[in-house]
Amino acid sequence: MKWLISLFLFSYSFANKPVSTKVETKLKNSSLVELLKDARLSLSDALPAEKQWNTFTASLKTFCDSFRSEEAKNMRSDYLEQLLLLAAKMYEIDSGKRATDCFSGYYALNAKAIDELIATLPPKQQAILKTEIDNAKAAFGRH
Amino acid sequence: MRSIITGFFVIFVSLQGMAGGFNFFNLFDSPKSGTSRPFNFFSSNSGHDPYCPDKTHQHFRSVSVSSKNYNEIQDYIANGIRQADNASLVNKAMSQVMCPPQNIGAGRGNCGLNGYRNSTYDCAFYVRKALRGTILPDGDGLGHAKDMGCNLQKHGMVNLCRTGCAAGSPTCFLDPFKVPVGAVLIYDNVGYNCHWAGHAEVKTPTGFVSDYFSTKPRNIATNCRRLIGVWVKGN
Repeated sequence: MKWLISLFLFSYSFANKPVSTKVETKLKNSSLVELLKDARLSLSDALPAEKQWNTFTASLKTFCDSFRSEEAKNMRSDYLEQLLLLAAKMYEIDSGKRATDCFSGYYALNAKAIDELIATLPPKQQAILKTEIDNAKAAFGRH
Repeated sequence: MRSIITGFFVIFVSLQGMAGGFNFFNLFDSPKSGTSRPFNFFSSNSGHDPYCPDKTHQHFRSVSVSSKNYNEIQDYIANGIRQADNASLVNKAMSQVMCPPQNIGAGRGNCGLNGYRNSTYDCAFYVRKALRGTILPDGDGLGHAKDMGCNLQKHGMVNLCRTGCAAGSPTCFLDPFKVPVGAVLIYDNVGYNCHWAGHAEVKTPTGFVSDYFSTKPRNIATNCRRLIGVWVKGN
């Protein structure tokens, strides 16, 4: 009977352990590059309006927060590529072009390197980013 | 027979535990508090649902000049003459960003699929164009978005936030969704990496308009913008 109670308690403790922390583990193991990629892919889904807004907000937060990372400071090419692809996607779906609020500062500091990398992107993303950068430059002082 | 049943039970429970998935024991747990929502005649009749408290005025109570601000907004909303001015401002601002039907989705005229133009970072330009000839006399520009407050003050407009007019003023904690229609919202930039010009937009009945239209205010999605002014036409 004693072993039965022990086994019972043992199994009970396993049964009540928190639900798998797969998401947390994934976040911990994922690099910033993967987070940016995930953020971009989440924007591609066809979602109801409010959910799409929430997804966009989360992606924008990831995008803006990434500028404080070591990858951003070191201008890692894989980071920059994912950053620009995400920026292009956000520009595409957001009429307010909110990505510029935090992207413009980073671009101002690293314009040459970013321009070089934009030239290597697929034509669609290239066109979007060039248009937005040109628009932002043209709007300078117009008020 | 008894030992067989006990054996089966032990094996079943062990498998449950090892799998760590479906929890046999939680089947007997009572529902968590808050998930059930009994109908309450008293709360229903009084209009104050304890499960969904009325937060209309809560935001204004949280700031030091809250009640004064709130009363001023209510007075402002009740004033029909100024509302007429605001209607013309809002109409003009909206007409500036509306796309002709033939351009929507065709990639012409910078039009988005929502029927309004996409932003070209000209918020100050478009807000100034809307203000001039409606609630302000015709004239020159009003400066960059975040600097617009002091120029609006010179024209007799009033900041409902009472936070000053210049860029760098303290953050205004009024809820952009609850400010009067026709109010000009001024946002400052936050942080080193953020676009320095700030943002300006006009409150409409359904959203916010500047050089684009959105149902969400600018400070809601990005930490780069903070509200520093809610400007309305003074007496």
